[in-house]
Amino acid sequence: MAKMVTYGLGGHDPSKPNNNIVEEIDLPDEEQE
Amino acid sequence: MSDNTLTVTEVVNSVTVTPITNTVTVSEVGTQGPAGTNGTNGTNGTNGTNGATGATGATGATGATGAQGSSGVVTVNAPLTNAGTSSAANLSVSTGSTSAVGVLQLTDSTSSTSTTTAATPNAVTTVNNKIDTMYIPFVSGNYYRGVGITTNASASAAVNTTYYTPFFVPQTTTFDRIVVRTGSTFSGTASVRLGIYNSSASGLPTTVVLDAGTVSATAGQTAYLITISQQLTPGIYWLAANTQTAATTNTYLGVVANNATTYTGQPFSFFGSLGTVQYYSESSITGAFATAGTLAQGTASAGIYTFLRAA
Repeated sequence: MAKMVTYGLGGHDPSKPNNNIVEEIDLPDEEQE
Repeated sequence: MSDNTLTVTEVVNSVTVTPITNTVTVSEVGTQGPAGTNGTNGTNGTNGTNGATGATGATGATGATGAQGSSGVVTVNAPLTNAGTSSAANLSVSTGSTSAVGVLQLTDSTSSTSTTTAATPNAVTTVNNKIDTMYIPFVSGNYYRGVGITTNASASAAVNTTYYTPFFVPQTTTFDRIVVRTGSTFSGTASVRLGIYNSSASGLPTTVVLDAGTVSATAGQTAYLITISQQLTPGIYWLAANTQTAATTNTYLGVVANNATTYTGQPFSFFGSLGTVQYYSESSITGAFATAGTLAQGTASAGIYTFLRAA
């Protein structure tokens, strides 16, 4: 299953909650390449 | 002593008269004589102290008018011209041309071929608006990438190598996400740095516009986004991705070799070994992004697509 993982400003940051990940979304359908 | 001579001898308060002949009888003392003359004047006394300053006197009368000055002389320089004399000028400004400075007539025309008129801001706006209609505008919420019609679902990426893909911005646009997507065969964990570069006059990546930071990729077929707030003015940019820690299978949605490009500034060969350049790469890049250095043309099915989302 495809996913979208969104970080806040500055990207990956272990010092911030959840490593600065602000949103995770599961995508049911992967686009055909 | 002879006759008729009287001798008087002064005695205090008395007069003794000795009669000689023709006796004279003195009956009383004579009257007092006149007062003597005055004595000389004494010396002057010392001067007194000065008195107080007197009041200011009245303003004097206006002086006479001065003599007339000499006549002025006018010196003119281009684009000014003088149809009169140096002392009685009649100035005007020359008309400008492509070889001489001067005044120009403004025009709203966007089709004139005149070389002696100048476009108004209104004419420039007309042209800008026409240019804007030649491109599909970025739509808020949509994702965009630079080159290629099709994509490679699992393009291999070398560690510590920055992959630059061109990105054309026809209208000033603000972007709120920068994105990389892992390939279908991706496995392991990778740290991927994402950013935006300016394009040099020769059409190559140059200075950093934005270093957005890194994402920690841990799964295949997953889009990793970093929140940004980056306005780009019209021009060519380069989207950059660098796997600074490679995954076990370090593949991403990337470039297909010799795939048609939407960026017309890229070299192209119809035959031979030189294929369509899809991207540039730069090896041995670690840490934060810096000004681009030695670049290699990329034509193979490799590289990493970086995307932007319009705000």
